[in-house]
Amino acid sequence: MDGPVDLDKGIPVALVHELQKIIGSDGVLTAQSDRMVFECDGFTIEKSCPDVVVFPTTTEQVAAVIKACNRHEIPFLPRGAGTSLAGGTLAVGGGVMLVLTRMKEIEEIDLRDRYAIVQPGVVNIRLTQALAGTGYHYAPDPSSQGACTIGGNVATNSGGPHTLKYGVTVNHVLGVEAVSSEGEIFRLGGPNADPAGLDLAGVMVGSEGTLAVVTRVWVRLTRNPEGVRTMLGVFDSVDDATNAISAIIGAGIIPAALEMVDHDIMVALEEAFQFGFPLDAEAILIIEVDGIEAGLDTQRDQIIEICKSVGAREVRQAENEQHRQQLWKARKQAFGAIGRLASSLVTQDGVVPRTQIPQMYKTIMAIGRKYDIRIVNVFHAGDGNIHPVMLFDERDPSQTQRVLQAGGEILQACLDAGGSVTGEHGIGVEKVKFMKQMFSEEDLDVMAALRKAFNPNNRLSPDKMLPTAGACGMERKAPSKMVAM
Amino acid sequence: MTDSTYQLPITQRLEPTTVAELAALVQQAHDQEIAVYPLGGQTAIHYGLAAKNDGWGMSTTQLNNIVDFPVKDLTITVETGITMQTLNDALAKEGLMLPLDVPQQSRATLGGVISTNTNGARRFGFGTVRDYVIGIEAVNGKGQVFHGGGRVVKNVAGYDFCKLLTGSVGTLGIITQTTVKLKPLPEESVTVVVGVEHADIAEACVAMLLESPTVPSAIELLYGNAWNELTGNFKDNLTLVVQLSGTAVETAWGQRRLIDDLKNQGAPGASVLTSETHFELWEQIQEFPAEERELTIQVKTVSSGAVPVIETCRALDPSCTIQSDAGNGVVTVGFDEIPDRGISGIVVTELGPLATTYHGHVETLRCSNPENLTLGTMWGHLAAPEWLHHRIKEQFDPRGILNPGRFVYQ
Repeated sequence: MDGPVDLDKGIPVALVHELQKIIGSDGVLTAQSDRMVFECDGFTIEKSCPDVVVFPTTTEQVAAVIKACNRHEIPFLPRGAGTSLAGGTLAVGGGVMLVLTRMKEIEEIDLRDRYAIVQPGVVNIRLTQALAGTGYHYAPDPSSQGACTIGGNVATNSGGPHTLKYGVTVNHVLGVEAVSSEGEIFRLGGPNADPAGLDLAGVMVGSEGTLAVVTRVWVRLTRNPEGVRTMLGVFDSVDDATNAISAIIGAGIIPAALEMVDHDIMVALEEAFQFGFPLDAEAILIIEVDGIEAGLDTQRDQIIEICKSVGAREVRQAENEQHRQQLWKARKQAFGAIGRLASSLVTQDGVVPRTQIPQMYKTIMAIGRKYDIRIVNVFHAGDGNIHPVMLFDERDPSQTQRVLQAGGEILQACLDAGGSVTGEHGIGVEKVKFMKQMFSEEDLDVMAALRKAFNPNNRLSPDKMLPTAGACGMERKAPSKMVAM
Repeated sequence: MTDSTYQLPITQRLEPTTVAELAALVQQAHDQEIAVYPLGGQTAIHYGLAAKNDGWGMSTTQLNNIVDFPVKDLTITVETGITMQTLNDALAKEGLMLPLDVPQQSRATLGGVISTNTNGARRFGFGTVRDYVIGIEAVNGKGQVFHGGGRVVKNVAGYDFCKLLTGSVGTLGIITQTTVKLKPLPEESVTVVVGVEHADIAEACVAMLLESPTVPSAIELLYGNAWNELTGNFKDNLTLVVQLSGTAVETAWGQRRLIDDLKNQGAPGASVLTSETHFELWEQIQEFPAEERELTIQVKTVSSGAVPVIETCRALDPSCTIQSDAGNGVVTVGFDEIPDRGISGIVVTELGPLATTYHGHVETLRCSNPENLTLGTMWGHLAAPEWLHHRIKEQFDPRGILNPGRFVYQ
């Protein structure tokens, strides 16, 4: 049973043999060349190779692996598809990585009671695909939904364009099965939305893999809307576009999605997708309303009127479902398309109160001018979630340094506006240092206390999210190359 | 309505006017190991097991200010001693709402609503407390003031204390301030009512409504004489009540469509209530769980459990009154007298296993004598392991001074 072992020092060979016994040799990676793939996730700037990578296929295997790690006092952490943009799955200090992508069964779909049970490695979009024709879908739709896993979505409380109306991951998770940091299998919640006792499934969502390893998820299914209207608002100035955003929300209309793309990103999208974007416009809004067919034309007309009243050049409407799908495809692949604009990119994931988007946009551009960094923007505008993307050449240390400073200043501006440093990407290792700016010492102390209740030895995902947990202290010398969704 | 059924063992009632003052008092209680009973409007004081020790009543009613109301962001930040009435009035003036349908609004405080996770009929269309609370401030059992979330609608920084404290019955912290998301008030709300002759028709109607393009905001099944006056006289049958909200065009289309769809499911003769009756009926539904009576239980299952639970309760005591958020599988049952089998006979023996079949549990919402309740008759099976509950409690309230005895840590 014992396979070949190629280890960095520090990991007991006995542990590797135990892991091979639990999972089988084909589910354990020890060779340096194999493990390299897992040295980082979508946040590529910091790298730390796990000492061993295992691919469990059952909850019992996860529990056995965790118990073995505890016996040998070795840290461990879970990983899904590795699309985290904040280093959420970085194996800080090495240890054992549990990659859950082989646990990818959709175990049950119950349409009468509107829930599904999935394993953590199920890719987000697979669930909605499995529901095709039933009249239901899984609502959280991060732009990485073709790759990211539902287990990872639970860890980061993922968002997406349509979470404006339908809510983020936590609003769609009813329960989880998990393995504790000591290897105990337990369940929090289930198909029923009302737990007896504490809402600990709610606490697990967004805990970034620091409380327990999720091995099964009960998710809510959402009824497809009867009708949908998708519009493209075309603006000659970004100010007008951002004013339209706050006017729409302020008028009490909550669209299903409300996204802003500025000129430079639009140009890149046009080159990639040939959608027919108006290249002479300064910004576009993608506005989607859905619901009862009988009321949609009225809502559409109201939105068109609001956009025009704040200076929209025109508001186009998606002609049919195919056209609509193309538009969303373009939006969700925005970051792939921007790759052609510069050799290096870095984005931020700040949030401001949504009516402050116009002011925030001006602040972002002023910061870009101050540091002489080109910034392009794509916003989940209806939620106040900004994604300014900074374009630069990372071979130039001066530019790199300015990008880091500009990014920090943008996030600080979000906090000053009463917002947050992360709307959907998470703290991971990237934003640990901002936690002290966002939360008081007492807040962080109580967060550490909560972690201690779940993860008393701090062997599970050490050095993530909280500075009080002795976080990495890695000084960032360069920003991430990958960018956000 | 004042509550005469249960008194907490309070030796001293304190009414701090600032969070700092409240935190200092809790710290003092911690140091001296004195029990602290958080008090809002005391409308749900009967909810929970009997209190363990004498202690201080810590009222939040002086902490009742609106801190920040950026109307166009559709959020509001308030101190949690604010009553639901005051809050709802302020929101309505701006055309907004927090659609939680809380009973006894003139006394119930937002802090109490969050602590007890109190939800009402429109949860089907609009969600529950946990979907609205986006920021929270609380004082734990050591007197530490802590925060989670923030004031923006999308935020994943740090652990989600909003979820942890929702429904924690004041045992992990006294909630002092919160930010909640808001919704625009719908232009129009209408009610469609129909009598349903058989359980299987009721189930078919509820299943149909869950998929209905009319997107109901509430789906209720009612049973008992108490409802007859407002719904029409359906006597021994179940009454199905559906609320539609939206624009006038949407609700006008929706009600016509529903009347046809219900007929096709075997429930002909649906009618639309007048607007006056509409408001009275929804108020009666909202107040029902809080009415004073010997025993009120709430069975919480998945949606398909609603009709079987209702049928079982009717068989147990034909004179009971039932209000069920059938789209969500929540069945609230009022008994004017404790049935012969006793609370444990009803809750543990009869309804417990049935609720388990439908992935749920039974709670005792109100009972004339909480001394008789046990963990099993109060909450049934916990949705998370006891050891984890205990560890969290230990971290947030190491001396066990917050609401001792009342929640699930036994």
